[in-house]
Amino acid sequence: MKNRVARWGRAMLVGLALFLPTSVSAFDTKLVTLKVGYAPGGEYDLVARIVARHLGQYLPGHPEVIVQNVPGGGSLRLAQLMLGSEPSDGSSIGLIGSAVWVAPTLDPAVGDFDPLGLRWIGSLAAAPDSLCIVAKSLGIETVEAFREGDFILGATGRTSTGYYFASAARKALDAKFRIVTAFEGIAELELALLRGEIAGHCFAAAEDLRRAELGEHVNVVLRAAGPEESPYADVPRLRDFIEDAHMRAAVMLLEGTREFNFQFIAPKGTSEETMAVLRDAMAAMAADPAYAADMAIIDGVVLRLVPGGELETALRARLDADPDIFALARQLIE
Amino acid sequence: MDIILLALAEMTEPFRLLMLVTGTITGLIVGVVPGIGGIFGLALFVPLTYQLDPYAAFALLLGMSSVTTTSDTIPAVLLGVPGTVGAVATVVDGHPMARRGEAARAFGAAYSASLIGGVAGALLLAISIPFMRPLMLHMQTPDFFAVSAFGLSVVGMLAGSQPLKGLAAAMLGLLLAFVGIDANAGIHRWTFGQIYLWEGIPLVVLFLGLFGLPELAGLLARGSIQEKAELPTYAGMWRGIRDTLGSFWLVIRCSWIGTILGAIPGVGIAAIDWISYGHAAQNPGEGPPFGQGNVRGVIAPESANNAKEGGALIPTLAFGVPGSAPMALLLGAFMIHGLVPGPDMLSVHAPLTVSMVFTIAAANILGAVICLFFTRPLARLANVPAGLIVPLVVVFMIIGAFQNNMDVLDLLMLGGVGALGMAMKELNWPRSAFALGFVLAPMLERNFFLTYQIHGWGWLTRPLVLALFAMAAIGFGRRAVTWYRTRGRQRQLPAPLPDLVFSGLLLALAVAAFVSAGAFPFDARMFPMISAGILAALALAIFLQAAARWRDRGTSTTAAALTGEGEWAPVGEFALKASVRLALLAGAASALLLLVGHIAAAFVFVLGSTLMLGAASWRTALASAMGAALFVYAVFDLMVSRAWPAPLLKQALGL
Repeated sequence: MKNRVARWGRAMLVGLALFLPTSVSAFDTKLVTLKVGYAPGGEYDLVARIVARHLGQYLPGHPEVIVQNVPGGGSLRLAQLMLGSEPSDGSSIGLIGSAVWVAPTLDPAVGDFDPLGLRWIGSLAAAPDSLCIVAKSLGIETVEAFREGDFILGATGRTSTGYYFASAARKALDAKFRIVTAFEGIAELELALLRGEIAGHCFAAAEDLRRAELGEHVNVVLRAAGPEESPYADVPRLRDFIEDAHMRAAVMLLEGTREFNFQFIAPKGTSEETMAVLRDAMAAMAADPAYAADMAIIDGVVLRLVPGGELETALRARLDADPDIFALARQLIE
Repeated sequence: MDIILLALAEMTEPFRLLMLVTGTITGLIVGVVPGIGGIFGLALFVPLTYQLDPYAAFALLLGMSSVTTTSDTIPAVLLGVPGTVGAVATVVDGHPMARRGEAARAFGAAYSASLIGGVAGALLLAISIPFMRPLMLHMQTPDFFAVSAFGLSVVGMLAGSQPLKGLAAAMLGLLLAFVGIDANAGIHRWTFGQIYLWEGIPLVVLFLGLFGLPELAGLLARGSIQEKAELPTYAGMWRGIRDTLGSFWLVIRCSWIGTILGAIPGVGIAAIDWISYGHAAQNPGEGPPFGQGNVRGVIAPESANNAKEGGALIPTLAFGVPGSAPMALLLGAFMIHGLVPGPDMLSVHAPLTVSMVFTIAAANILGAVICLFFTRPLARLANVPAGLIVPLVVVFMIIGAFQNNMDVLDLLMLGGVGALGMAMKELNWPRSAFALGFVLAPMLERNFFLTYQIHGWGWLTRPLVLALFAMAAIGFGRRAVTWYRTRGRQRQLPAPLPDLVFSGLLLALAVAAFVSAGAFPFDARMFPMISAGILAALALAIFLQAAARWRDRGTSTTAAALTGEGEWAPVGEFALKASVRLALLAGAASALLLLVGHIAAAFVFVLGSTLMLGAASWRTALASAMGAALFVYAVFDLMVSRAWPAPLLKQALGL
């Protein structure tokens, strides 16, 4: 036994002498890990990989930027990790969903999550349209018919933005339609729509409707959220049908869950100096035509950098809203 | 015809062929390392395709993802450790064949089945190109639910010689699959405040622990993979190939199962493997029973898992709905190359679509030929002492499991599931039934709720639903009749006291799960409560049976005399000792990984444990350790950069 322990000891020493200095460390400034809060594949993953290709050249020492997927809870899992265990020296940054900042106020189940502890590096794209679409075969073309119609809209989970918009439309308009949840994603929703299992959904973007197979089969009835400038600017907005100021503010709060797209964050406790380096690098990257050319492959993305400081201020202001408005927003999505 | 010729002409350009070969070889390497797998490889390669034209890009990507399920057979057969989740079913009969000195035969059968299955799947994909959209538009959520319910009925074929245990194992698998955030209701189910559990129990870690660690304990107890010191021959390999050819229609049926189920989003490769394995088990043919090295138990899953890729492409190409996890990554590559899934893939981009079919077929042929070429030297590993092999496999398993989340909980989960797997293996609780329940649970639950919300109960009259339910009922009913007829027959059983303890623990777990699930919202609690309720009833019945056997223990068979039956392969009196040794080894490898980092840990652990196990000289142990460290460095640092946490020792020394 003594002999065996001695052998272990010798092996350990030889190993340390040979290999310990060569171990790669995540805390080495030569390597930045960009963690994306979604599974491989999909838009967020692709954006992360494009940013990883470009960001490193604008950071001091030109570190390699690698992507790691940390899916879970619509990127809330990553946001939680960024509040806790991630190093705050700039070697770990994250890409999270656009609604994470409002999660604890809309979903009491995640009430222990403090979004204000996160540091925002910036967001990269403008809010896309979120349109309520209904199959043409139903003959629904107006909001009034949408309100009165007895049909099914689909959504993914009950904490998804698509569900928020459909539910808000149903309650704010006192509509009759039902909402079915548990679809896996937007493509599955569209497939269910095409085969007639659901009548539509409230999460269609302009680029989805450009595809003839979908665009030719649906009517766009309502804009749940979206920018002022849009090819669908003439479609009535949900907020315009609400007279009560508080309720209208609650709907606009929900619209805000799509406002800042592709939000990049740093862990809690990241110093101002490190934040400045990261924000400057992101601004420089956003101005790079090569980056813009790579991002252009993602259909429908309108590039618009919102610098981290500005983003942080905007999100704080939204979270400082009247608690009654949050309560109303929660009622809309219950 | 013009499209086919055009696709062929595009594919045969030298650079694109080079990409196909590169992808295939990388896929074979990725498949052989436990814990990584096709998604790892695709995530690595997708960004590299920016500079490539679409034909070359998809030759690289599909070439790689098509063959991981060919080479993952190597560790599955030799070591009982699945290379990817697509090789778990292959372990059940492939590894006993290697133990019996038939590794070369198992490889010959597996590779030839992979080849024929992969090509048949590609052909079915090619034939279905004109029909894929109408077909996908015709299938509705009730049909998908019926498919998953039919899949679960296969558990009857996997339930082994003690059917109550088989059914209970499946229910335990179902129950554990509900751990994590319920995406539909958005609530946490048994996450115990751990962020790690939000996404549920990681499938890779679960299967490595459940199947890999117990088989390694058995290997340590036996001393070498092969029980008889016979050298493998090419004759064995040819025999395996003849086995496949002799089971040609089984191969075709299983490849169709793979393609058709692969086309249904949500049916993962593991579920397809078990369903095809269960299908083959209905007619075991000649040779030993299923679970004890029946070659048809290797042929069936191997032909299905290689055919799956073709099927998974159908919804991906036709509607942009990924048919599998790797296909989700492939959709990212579609975006990079400006391709939009849908009708255009069957018209404007039809030559590219056809080239994908050719790529899958060609990669399967090339991958199988390369693997067949290496069969004999690989099969020779079956005679190498366990003391030399086990340290290598343990370190790759530990690093493979850890690299998923880079979380110490990965290692604890691996250990915990490994302990469960060892207990299940010793006490005749079929791990295959557990695995099937685990992989089918999410699909069952999700499709049931979609079906019920959309169709109420009217869906029960759909023809496909009726047909699938009838097939499930007939299959399960026949199996139940067999169990009833053989109920009084004398058979060897595990010792009653451990059975009593294990079933008692499961009963407590099931009751606790049932009670705690009551606090979930209705749609989040329904399936967990049903699973927990059935598990509690089955565990109680097994507990009572074991109690009766314990009362009459003077006449019971002792564990030392056991030879096992079906999938059951107890190590007997050596089990505890071997399991403890393996647990110590895995614990040491885990500690070293955290303490000194992955490369140093590979070196130190392999060197130290090889010497400690006394299986080799200093020189051999040193060469083995160097090889392990270099391989780990090549895969996890050169092939792809991973942000490994700083080793604790380095942190402590302030380096």
